Amino acid sequence: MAEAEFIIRTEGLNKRFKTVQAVKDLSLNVRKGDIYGFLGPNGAGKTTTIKMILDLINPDSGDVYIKGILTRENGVGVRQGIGYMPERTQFYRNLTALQTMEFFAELKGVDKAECDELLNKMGLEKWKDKKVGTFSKGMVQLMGIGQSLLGSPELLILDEPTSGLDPRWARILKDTMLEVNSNGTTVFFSSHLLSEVQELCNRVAILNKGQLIIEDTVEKVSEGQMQKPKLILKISGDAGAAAQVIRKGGFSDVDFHGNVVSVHCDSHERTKVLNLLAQANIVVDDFRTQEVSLEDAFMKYIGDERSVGGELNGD
Amino acid sequence: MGIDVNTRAIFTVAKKEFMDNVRNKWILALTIIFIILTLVISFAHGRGELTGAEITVLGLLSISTLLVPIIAIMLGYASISGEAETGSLSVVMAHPIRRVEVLLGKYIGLGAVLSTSIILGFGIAGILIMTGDASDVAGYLVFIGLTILLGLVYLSLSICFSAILKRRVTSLGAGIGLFFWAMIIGSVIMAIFWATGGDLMDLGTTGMPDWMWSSMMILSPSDMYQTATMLGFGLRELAVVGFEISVPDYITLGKLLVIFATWILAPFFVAYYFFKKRDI
Ligand SMILES: Nc1ncnc2c1ncn2[C@@H]1O[C@H](COP(=O)(O)OP(=O)(O)OP(=O)(O)O)[C@@H](O)[C@H]1O
Ligand SMILES: [Mg+2]
Repeated sequence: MAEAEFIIRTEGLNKRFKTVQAVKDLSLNVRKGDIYGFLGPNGAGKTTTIKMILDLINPDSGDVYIKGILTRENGVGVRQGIGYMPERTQFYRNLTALQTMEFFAELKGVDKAECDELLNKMGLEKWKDKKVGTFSKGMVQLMGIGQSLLGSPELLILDEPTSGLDPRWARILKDTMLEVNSNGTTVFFSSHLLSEVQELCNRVAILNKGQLIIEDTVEKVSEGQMQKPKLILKISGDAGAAAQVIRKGGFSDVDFHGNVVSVHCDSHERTKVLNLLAQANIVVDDFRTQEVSLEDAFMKYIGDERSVGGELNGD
Repeated sequence: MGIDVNTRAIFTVAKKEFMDNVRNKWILALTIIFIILTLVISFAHGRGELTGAEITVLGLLSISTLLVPIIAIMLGYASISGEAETGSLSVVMAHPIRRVEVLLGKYIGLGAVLSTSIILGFGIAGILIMTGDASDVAGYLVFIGLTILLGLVYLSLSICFSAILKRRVTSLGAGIGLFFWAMIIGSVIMAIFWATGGDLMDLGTTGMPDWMWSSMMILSPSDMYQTATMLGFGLRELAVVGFEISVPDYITLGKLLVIFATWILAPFFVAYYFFKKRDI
């Protein structure tokens, strides 16, 4: 693929905060037109990476190219076409919503008429003359999204955009992301909600402890762990015993919890599982199936180690 | 430092800083206190024997030397660390704007709020004084100008700390430290004089030795400000409550203005150096 078709390209990014290696040798490639999901557990280094892409954090080493231009050398020019919403922000307590939007519009050199439009779109029209200092967390979040859309940017970078939004506004935001993408905007966002990533994105990357685990299409990433769909059974007896029976029958990927047993198997193997249980006189009250999900794949990729954050030095 | 700056971007940031901070209730409250105190002082002096703008101004100096550093530090201490902490600075810096432009915009916008506060604080009293005794309008205007310069010194220093320090609370600590330095450095120099065998009684008769004058003028913006105000009114000698102050000839208003400018500009360059490489 030609260089210019990558709207964001990072090469060997590294960033250490005192004792934490937050990002390690990270190379990403985001194509023009992508809706790109940036995944990773808490403390994986997503926010740090996003800030390095935007030239807000100076990497210890490595380069960032936006549309083929090295950001370190032409940050101002490159940022002209970018909309950004950080993970959390508070804006200016004593400015009204409209004044805040107009400030960002002026910084971007965008027509101020857009401010009213975007405030309406974000459901804030009644609040536009109220001080942002009085807004709820979700309302501030909506302001943040509104300002990122000013000037119809070529590239939209959103750090956990749906966190803090109620389901209705999360839906509206997702529709907005699809809408701007269909108008040519590349959307790069980080998220913890894998269902929304699966729904929206064509490409994803998974980051763990500052390192890239995989970067590919959603389908490839989901299948990458050789996942099979999941069969979930509700047993009226001892689920542990049921799991035992299924394992003996030749299935290795079996789990149980309370009175529920789950087994990863292909769809043609499902009757075999049910037969095994019937032969052992185990009564199945109910069962359902779950298709391969990004969530399952994600869990496999990052492992089940319960520790957050980047790699600690000397640890 | 890049000469190539976008003045429109600077103005945009300056306007935002002005609109946000001019409505800050603490700044508003301090400005009201400022206005009330200057009015009280002006009336008190007007009724006593000592009339005339110069004498009133000596009273006003005691208010401004206290209030102006407080207002300036309140405006500046969180201007970068606080905004970085809330995340809004990262939104600003993701726009097509250079760091030097953000910094200049903050200096200008906050400087304008500070100047507004001072002009309101002294302007109202000034009109009353001048109508009563139209003695030295020019001197009074110079006095207001010098007060703004004093404020800019502390604003510049507190923005500088805010650019260096990562967190709002630590820069608040630095701001408080700065205020104490402003209040006590004159006394510290006195204490050094006394500790090195000087007699405080001599100060009233023979005046301060040269090294003391120099260090006061260079290290203590408040003392420099008070001296510059005297010189602004054309006074070199002054007797207050039995204490005679005689400003040596080598101290001129011009030199003091150069020191003021250094105090304002040097922290700006230090702030720029740290802000440029700061992670936001
Ligand atoms: N300013 C900082 N100073 C010190 N350490 C930091 C700083 N910012 C981030 N870190 C560390 O770097 C690592 C990565 O943090 P980062 O915020 O990038 O993670 P994240 O993937 O965005 O996490 P989350 O999903 O929780 O938002 C963490 O271990 C964090 O503690
Ligand atoms: Mg984050």
